Amino acid sequence: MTGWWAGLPAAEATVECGGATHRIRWEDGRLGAPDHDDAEGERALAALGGEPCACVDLLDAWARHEHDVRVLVIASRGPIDLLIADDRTPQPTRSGLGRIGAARSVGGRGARLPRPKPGAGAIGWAASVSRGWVGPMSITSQAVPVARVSGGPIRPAFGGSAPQTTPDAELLGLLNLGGGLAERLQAGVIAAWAQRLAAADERCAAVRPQLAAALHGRASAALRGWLGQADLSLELEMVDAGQAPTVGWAGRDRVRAALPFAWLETVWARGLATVMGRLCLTATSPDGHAWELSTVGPELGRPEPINLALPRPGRGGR
Amino acid sequence: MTEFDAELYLRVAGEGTLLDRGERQRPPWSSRLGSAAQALVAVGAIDEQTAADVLDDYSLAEALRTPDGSPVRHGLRARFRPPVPPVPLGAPGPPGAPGAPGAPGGANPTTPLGPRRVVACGHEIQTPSERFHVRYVSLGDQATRVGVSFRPGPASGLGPRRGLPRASGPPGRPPQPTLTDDRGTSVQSHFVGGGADEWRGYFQAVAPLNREAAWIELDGARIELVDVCSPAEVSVERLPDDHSPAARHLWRLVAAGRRQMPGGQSAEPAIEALIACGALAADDPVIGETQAVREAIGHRPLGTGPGAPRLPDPWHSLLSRAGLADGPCGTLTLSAVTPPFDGVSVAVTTLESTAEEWTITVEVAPDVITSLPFIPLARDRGLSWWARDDRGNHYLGTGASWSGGGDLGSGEISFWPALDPAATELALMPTAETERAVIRLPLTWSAP
Repeated sequence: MTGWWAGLPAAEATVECGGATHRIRWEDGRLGAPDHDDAEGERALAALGGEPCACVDLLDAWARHEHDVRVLVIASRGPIDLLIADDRTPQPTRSGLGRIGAARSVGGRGARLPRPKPGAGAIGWAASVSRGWVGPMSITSQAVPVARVSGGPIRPAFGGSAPQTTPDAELLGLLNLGGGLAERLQAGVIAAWAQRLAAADERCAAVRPQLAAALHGRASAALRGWLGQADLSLELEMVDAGQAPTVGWAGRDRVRAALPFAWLETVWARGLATVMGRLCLTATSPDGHAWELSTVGPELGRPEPINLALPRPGRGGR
Repeated sequence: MTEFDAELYLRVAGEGTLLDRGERQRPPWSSRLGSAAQALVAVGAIDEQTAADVLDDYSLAEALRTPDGSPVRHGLRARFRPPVPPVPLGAPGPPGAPGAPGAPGGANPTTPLGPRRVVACGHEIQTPSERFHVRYVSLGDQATRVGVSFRPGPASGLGPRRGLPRASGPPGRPPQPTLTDDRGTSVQSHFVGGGADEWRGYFQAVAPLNREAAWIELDGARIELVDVCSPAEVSVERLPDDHSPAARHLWRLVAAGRRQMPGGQSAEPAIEALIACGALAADDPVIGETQAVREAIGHRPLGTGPGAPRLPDPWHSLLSRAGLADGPCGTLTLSAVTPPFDGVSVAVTTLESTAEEWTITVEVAPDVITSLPFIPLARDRGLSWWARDDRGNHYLGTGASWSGGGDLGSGEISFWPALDPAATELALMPTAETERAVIRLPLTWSAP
């Protein structure tokens, strides 16, 4: 029996905290702030009116979202589905001054979000519906700013002097951390719900459509990227964890599949959806280092095994 | 057989939207996901809130994948909440609702439009910076508006030439003339409207003037108010229950097609969703009928040519006069205000007819028009603008210009085909989901 994080390398990003650059590190399923010896103490101090701590705020935000199914709605579906960070996307900042530091992936898949532009620490959403589509119906907004909508500034996501973040702003800040942390957050959410589904947890009923759609979107993205068919459609049934996954052609541009939600945990989140030009249906490991994959080729025929061995700690791994 | 899960259906459609770059580049008013959601809500396959939550989720997800293409960003939707049903004048709205005590936003958006005195005008007024054509003056207990059209002068900064300061408004902005009534009340006004070469709209006084005024002045230029107003009879009626909910939604989409922007909403996602949820059979004749009407409208005036299919009424009647340019030329002034129908109240102020088309000036409260193109709503709360004359002709209107948002929208609705010159009575029928208002008026023309 291995933890859901088995096979996932550590990931790390830096944030500006108290005038210094601090590391935020994910390893073995847990997020930590290694530059803070006593995060709990700093949290207590901040609660009593002391200086807020960006690292601790970030850990708290992570904890608030590690079971948040909305992560699966917003986050990337894979390499063909990149999120775009720009100055509308909240960045982890400190009173608007800080920015993400040198996000780096520690042997992981690396940050997918582009690095923020210089000076892009400002946070906020603003939009105007008065900008123009020109059509037979012209919509205008003149002296009175009718039909104009402007979002107020969103307070700094982490470490602000008086945090008043919206849940979405906080979540977007987490997904914008870089260094592979967004992928680890997503993997954690997937694992949490996979475990709940396996345990027939009653909380699953309310979010089953979100979970099934999350599986559908990621499996579609994997298939499209793998087969190079951007218009491929997928007819997917989300089956129970105990059922064997199946996949087959249902037409020239259509694939029919039955996958458990746990496929996201055991295969997709580990970056194993496609291996050596083949689609992976299951991945099992007795120890987190030796892996046996069940895979199919583009003809979507009979599954064949592939065996992988990850390096063990002290032998090139971290 | 697996039970249809409407939320899952929409979410899977949303996943497709995210992975399909072409789909993401669609303007929000032609969102396939929005179209499917509206169809499923219309037939009761999913509740409006759940559908709205799905649209919210995927609007945000889309926004994070679109560099700068769409102004629909997360957070907008929260400001475009579905309108709250109207409450009687003076009654408090729900706590926290816009317009409720303590809530921002000024006038209560749930308040139906009030009665007003509308006076026809045809004045030309020259101010230091502009020459205005004053079309009407509307005096209500809550608002005073002066309907105008004008060509921005060189000092306005609105047209191609920019320059000198002006008497009634800062440069680069529309004029803000002072309005004065016969009791000496003098208030500032602001312009609501728009245009290109010619601007059309109205000046809204910051406080209402005397409703019974014999005259008002616009930046010192006097306008005598002589009541000449067409009588109008207003009623509200339920829509006939002669279609299934799915068919009714599809016909509504066809009518809406005339009010859509380019690349407007396709019926395809709605039809697919209705079939998927079992509300529509794949071989239901209404699919072909609505498609035929769409094509006929899209290629008007070919709808009545030889070999053209016989379209169901009112579409057949609508297309039978398409392309004719024999409409009467003239202007009517109305003070017609409807009671709420499906939560919407409409006021019609003028009707102007030309040989090719005819146009009405309207106010709509709350504004169910502005929000439509920009935010894919879970429920189509828009209005279809139908009309019928005493000769059996039907007409369909589409937004020609619009300003508004929130509690009140106003603008012009252009109708086609041209009015039948032999018609003597007209019924305007702004139509919502389940109800419509009927405003009957005689077609007695004054000078254009």
